[in-house]
Amino acid sequence: MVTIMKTYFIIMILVMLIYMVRHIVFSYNRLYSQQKISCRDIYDSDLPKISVLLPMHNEGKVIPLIFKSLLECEYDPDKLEIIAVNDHSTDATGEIIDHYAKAYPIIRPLHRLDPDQQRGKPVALNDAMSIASGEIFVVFDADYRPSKNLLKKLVSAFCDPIVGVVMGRVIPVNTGTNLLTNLLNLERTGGYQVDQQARYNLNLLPQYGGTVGAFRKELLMKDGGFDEHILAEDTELTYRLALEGWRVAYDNSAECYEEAPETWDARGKQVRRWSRGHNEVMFRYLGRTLRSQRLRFIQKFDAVLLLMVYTVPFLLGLAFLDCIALFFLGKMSIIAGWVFVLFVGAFNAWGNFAPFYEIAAGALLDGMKNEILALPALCFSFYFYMWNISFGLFDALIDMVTNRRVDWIKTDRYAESDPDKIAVSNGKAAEK
Amino acid sequence: MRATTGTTVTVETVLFIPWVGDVSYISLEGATPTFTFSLINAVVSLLFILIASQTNRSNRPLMIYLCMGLFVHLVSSLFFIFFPERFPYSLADYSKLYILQQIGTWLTIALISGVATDLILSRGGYKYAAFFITVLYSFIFGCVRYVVYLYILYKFSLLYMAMLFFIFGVLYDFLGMIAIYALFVRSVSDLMSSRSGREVWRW
Repeated sequence: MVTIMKTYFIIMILVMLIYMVRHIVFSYNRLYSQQKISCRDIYDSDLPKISVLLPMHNEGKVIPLIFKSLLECEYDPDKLEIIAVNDHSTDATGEIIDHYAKAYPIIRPLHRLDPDQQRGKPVALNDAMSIASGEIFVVFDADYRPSKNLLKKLVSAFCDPIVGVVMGRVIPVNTGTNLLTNLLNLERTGGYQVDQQARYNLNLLPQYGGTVGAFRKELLMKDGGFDEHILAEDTELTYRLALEGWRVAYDNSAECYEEAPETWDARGKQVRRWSRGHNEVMFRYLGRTLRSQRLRFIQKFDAVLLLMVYTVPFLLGLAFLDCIALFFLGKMSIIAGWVFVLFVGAFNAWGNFAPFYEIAAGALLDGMKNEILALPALCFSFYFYMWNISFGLFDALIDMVTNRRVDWIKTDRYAESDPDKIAVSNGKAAEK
Repeated sequence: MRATTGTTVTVETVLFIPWVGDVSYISLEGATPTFTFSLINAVVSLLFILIASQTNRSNRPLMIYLCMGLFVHLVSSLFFIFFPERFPYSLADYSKLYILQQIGTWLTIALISGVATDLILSRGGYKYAAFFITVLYSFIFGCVRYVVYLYILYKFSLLYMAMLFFIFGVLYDFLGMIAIYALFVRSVSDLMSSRSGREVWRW
């Protein structure tokens, strides 16, 4: 038993070292290597017709913001349609969508109100895709605010015929609200500015994140759309297309602004949901990724590491318990000396503090100043993530074992607009 | 050497890195907790875990960290309640482990700090300043903590050993390192925003 515990401890050290080196490589690549840009320089060419899909459930607080941003986007109106899906909302969402649809013909409302219908983002997206006429589908969550040239930038990536899906960059807008939003800003910076771009530079696998991304219609429709029984339809799509040989592109300049969760409870629920969905995809795609003939060894290796990101925190928690057990069993010799040096180094350079050097590199590229000073606080949020991610993993395991139906859990919104007032005021605006 | 309380304090050595040399550490006896003391600690830990898990939702991460610490302390208390004679370490063992761990930590911090600062800035005084301040901080902090922890275990109880080792251990060396690193990156960000800094960018 003790041998197993010691072996597990050493395996976890190796796992952490691998992740640590991976993120050092990404940071170095982003800071000192030539950057791969998307096809943005040719975005004045003839771009295809696109459908923007907005799945919404009780989003009355934030709808006007995304409509406003989308309507200001630079894209030929004759080649643009916005399909706003009201997925069983009980607030003013449906009413607001209808008012906007009256005022702007490019907005097409789709109300999903049948109580017997399955709910959730993948189902809503599938229904929207079935009536959409664009060649490219662009997806946004309702709390996102795209920049003016975002649509053009995203869609121009499809000038490359091997690109099946493209992802843009997400930037929180409410970064100054509290420590949590500041930390989320740092995490996003590390995740997009460095991690996603480096993976794109190195021909690895950038991840389509389910929002601020676009994909080819025919690729989804041939397989019957999104899998309606999975929470992380975005990760599933990334792996599905990558294993079919399509490239996932990333455009760091295609910026979209989001409202980050402002309370730890909301963040915890969000992370738990992500972990549950991501781990479901991991169960489904780990074997397929390892067996894939289309991916090179290094792509396969990185794709597996990406699949495991929501599993490893739980394994680290287990390593912590393992360590405590070894302590009381009097087997501390394993955690003293060189093995412990490796453990401490890897744990703190990847686990405890996230890859802090990667976040710092991203913050530097973004020209951040005082925000960087919150870096040490990442340590405590690591324990928070470990906790919530572990629950998400258990959820995914139970889903798999019991074949349980997955319900969508929405993240709380913080925009201060009163949905009913918005409905009324927008109604007046639409009438004018 | 004899301490004023009558406890024998000796300096022992242990091999850490072959061909480099031995490492010295302080050896002395610690206080073993009584059953009542262990029981009180177990009850208090459990109470605090229950309270911490139910309150202060705005500080969730800190509460989870605190609960982890209390959990370790609870396990330690239960161990001393049920198997006091089986506790595998003396204060001398802890002292040895601490020193081995701390030297490892100093080496790791020097390595990680070196890589991380070099990654951000390939040359310049800021980089060397950040590196040396980090190493110095870790050295001083590690030594001071060594004395403080030995004092706690010697004066109060060996019951606190697990918590000191796992929760208030090397994490704080790294916390200091990241804080210094954050200040360093903040300074580099200022530098890069300046005219001379902008010329450094290659794209």
